[in-house]
Order: sequence, then structure tokens, then C-alpha cells
Amino acid sequence: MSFVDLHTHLPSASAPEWASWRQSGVLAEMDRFGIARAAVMTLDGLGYDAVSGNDVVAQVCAGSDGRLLPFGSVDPRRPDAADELRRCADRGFHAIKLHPWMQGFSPLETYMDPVAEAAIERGLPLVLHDGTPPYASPLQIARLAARFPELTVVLAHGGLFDLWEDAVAAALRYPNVHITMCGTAPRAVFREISRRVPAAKLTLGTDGGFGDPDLRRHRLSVHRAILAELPDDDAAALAHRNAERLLGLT
Amino acid sequence: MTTDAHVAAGEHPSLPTLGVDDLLRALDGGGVDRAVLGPVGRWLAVDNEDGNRTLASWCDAHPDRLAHWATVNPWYGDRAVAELRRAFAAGARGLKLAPSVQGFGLLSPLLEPVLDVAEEHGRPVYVVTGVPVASEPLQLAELALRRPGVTFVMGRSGRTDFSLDLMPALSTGPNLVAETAYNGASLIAGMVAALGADRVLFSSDVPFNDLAPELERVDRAGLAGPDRAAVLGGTAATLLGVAA
Repeated sequence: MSFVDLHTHLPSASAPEWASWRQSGVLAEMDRFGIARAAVMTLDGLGYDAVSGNDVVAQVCAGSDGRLLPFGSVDPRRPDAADELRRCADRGFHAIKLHPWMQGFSPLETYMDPVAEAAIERGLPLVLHDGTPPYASPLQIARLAARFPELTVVLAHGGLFDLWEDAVAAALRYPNVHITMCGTAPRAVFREISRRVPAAKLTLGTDGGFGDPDLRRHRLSVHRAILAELPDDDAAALAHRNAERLLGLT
Repeated sequence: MTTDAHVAAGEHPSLPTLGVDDLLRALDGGGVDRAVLGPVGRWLAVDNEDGNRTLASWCDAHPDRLAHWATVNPWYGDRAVAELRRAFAAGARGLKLAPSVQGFGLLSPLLEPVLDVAEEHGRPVYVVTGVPVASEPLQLAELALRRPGVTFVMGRSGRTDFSLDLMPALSTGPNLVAETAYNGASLIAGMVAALGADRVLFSSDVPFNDLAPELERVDRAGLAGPDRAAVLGGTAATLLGVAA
């Protein structure tokens, strides 16, 4: 089974892992794990400056033959957030990652409107960290999707431990809400999500690059166990087809 | 000898659970010798005595394999105190609390009577942490400062998103114990280095979580032999009276 890993992070520039970060090393690791393509998201861009974070993401993904998929970010409070989103689209980014508590915003505030409109205009999904209150609850994020039915919204963690039933509710109620199964919640939770939510709405991620160096291997072992319980078609949809469709990959 | 310090048991409204025979098979499959069962769902929220008695009956039937945490909802007041005394007398190894399920904040005076019982009996208190407002790691750390005579286990390690709070909270006092479930190898190694292996318990949270990957994370932590033995059983033996 070939995977698209829809959730990985670049290490923070202040972390030792960044000093040793090499594209060749990352691609070799993906080969070892059977990951065909992987989203690349910033960490520093969420905490400090989205624009410079995007520049770094573009740089590290270049020359990977399409295997590293640049995801940008914008600071929704900034008046030029929509312009930065368009700049991401112009340089071939595949989605926009937003993290309400790291970036200090609520998905319900009106400054999200121009960001959502630009995302619709350029066909970029918004991938939002979810599962941790107060501003990253699945139902808050779902209301953004409800206000913009043409927008594609991805809940990046499926509600985690405590809000996964909210994430399921959001995905069932709103056609444009999708879930990436990625996070510390146990397999029983992800198995329930995969039972309750149509397979076409589910993708997989590892959060590789964030925290424990062993995380990617660990999460993939859990994902494989879940896929093994699904019909082949659904397993392929979760492992790569849905991600390819969401991101417009061929 | 491997002891799993928290295995989930009970009827959960959203997630499947296992009866005692299937649980024992799961432990056999993972190479776990002994497990400490913790009530979940209805048993945890409201029907405490029902759960405590059922778990005790499972343990009585398999004394070489199973022990259990008892729970009481502190909102039951005197009834909670009486039930906890009864459960300890019947063999429960400690008290499990889940503030977001049972409906209280960790620093509420509501807890004091049941903590008094735990302290009188010298039993540890396992607290599910990680749900904002009700059960944050630093709230448990504050409780540990207030109650130096009670040992608290930081259940679920504040997952998620309290990873930044975890080590400052666990380092607050000697009466805070870490568990391995949901933590990666590097953090397990870090917890043992910072706290000592006698303050780190292996647990899997089976059947919600998976046993083999959680054991593999302990293996990958690269612990020295005695530390590994402590995490996988010695600490539970000391803290919970489960034979190593």
C-alpha cells in the first residue's frame, strides 16, 4: 500500500533536527515507510511569521519530484492574509495549514472571510488543527465550512481524544468537512471514525517531524492496522486516493 | 514479568471494550503477565460500586494476572467514601478519577474526603489528565503539592495538547508518577532520566489503545536493564502491590 502522509512538519529552526534536516534523508525515510508523497507544513511559520515560514517550505520541497507537497500558512489576522494565500497558490502550494491556538485566532471571526474566499478562488483546501479548545474545536471549524460551502476544510486531527465525536458530527453534517486521521488518540477512536464517516472523507497523517522522532513509524503501524480491517477500495481511498483528489494530484 | 498499569474495562458508550476472557487473551498476545484494570464508561461515571465489584470478581478469578483500580464519583459524598473503603478492603489497589467524566475540577474541595481515604490506606490515585478546564497536568501538580501524602499517577500524560506542561508538572514533586501510554520512546527515556524509573509506570490503555506498539516504544527508549525492569513491572509492584 502506497501512502500519502497528509500531516508532517518541518522542525523548528531552533531545534537540532533542523540542522540535520536533508531532503534526501526525508525522501529515504519515506521510501522505508512506503510513503509516496507527504505534506510539508511549517512549525515556525505558525508561531512566528507565516510568510517566511512559507519561503522555507517552498525551498525544502523544491526538487523533490513532487514527493514533498508544500502546504503554506497565513496569519488570518493580517490584512494581507488573502494575498499571502494567493502567493502560496501561485508558487504551487497544495493547501493552507492553520492552527488556531498557535496562531491566536478563532475560525469564527470575520477576518477569516477573505482567507476563505481566496482559498475557494484558488482551489486550496484549508487544513486546520483541531481537537483542542478553546478555538480549535471541530464544530467551530465546521461553521467556517458551513458559511463557505465551496471551501474544502480538513480537520487535521479528527478531534483527538476528547472531541472526536464532534469531528464525526462535523464530517457527517457538512459535505465540505474532511478528516485526517492523525494524532495521539488510540486506534479504537480512529477505528470508530472510519466506521462512522464515509471513506471518501478520510485521509491519513503522521505528524512526523513534530516531537518524538519515532512518531511516524508508530503512527503508520496504527494506520496499517486500521486499513487492514477495511475493504481494499476503502483502504486505498484512505491511504492515498482521497489525498490525491483533495490536493488535485495526478 | 511485565505489568500493564492501566487497562480499560467497562461499558463505554462510544468505544468497544472487552470482557475478562478477551482481555486476558489480549494480554497473552502482547506478552503481558499482569494488568491493573481501570473502570471506564458507566462504571466510571455513575455505577461505581457495580464496576468495582465486577472488576474485583475478575481479579479474584485471576489473582495471578489481574488487579484493579477502584473508582468513586466524589459527588456521591459519604457514599463515595464508604464505597472506596469497601473497595480497598476488597482488594482494589488504588483510586481512579476522571474529572471530565465524573464532573469536577481537580482542585475542588469535593475531592478531599476521597483523597483522605486514599491517604489513610496508602493507595495511589490515578487521574486521567489532558482535558482542559477539568484535568490539566498542572492542576494535578498543584493537587500533589497540596496533598504530599498521596501519590498521583498522571494518567494519559495530559494528551492532547499539554505536552509542554507534562514535564514541568511531573517534576513538581516526588508524589507524581508518569505513565508511558501515548508517549514516544524519546519522552519515555526523558521521563526516566528526569524522574527516575521508580516514578514511571508502563501502561497501554488497552483495549482502546494497542499493546504491542506501546511495548515497542518502551523497548525503543533504550533504557538500562534495571530501569526497563522497573518501568515494566517493578514500579507497579512497589506502587500498586502487584507482584513483579
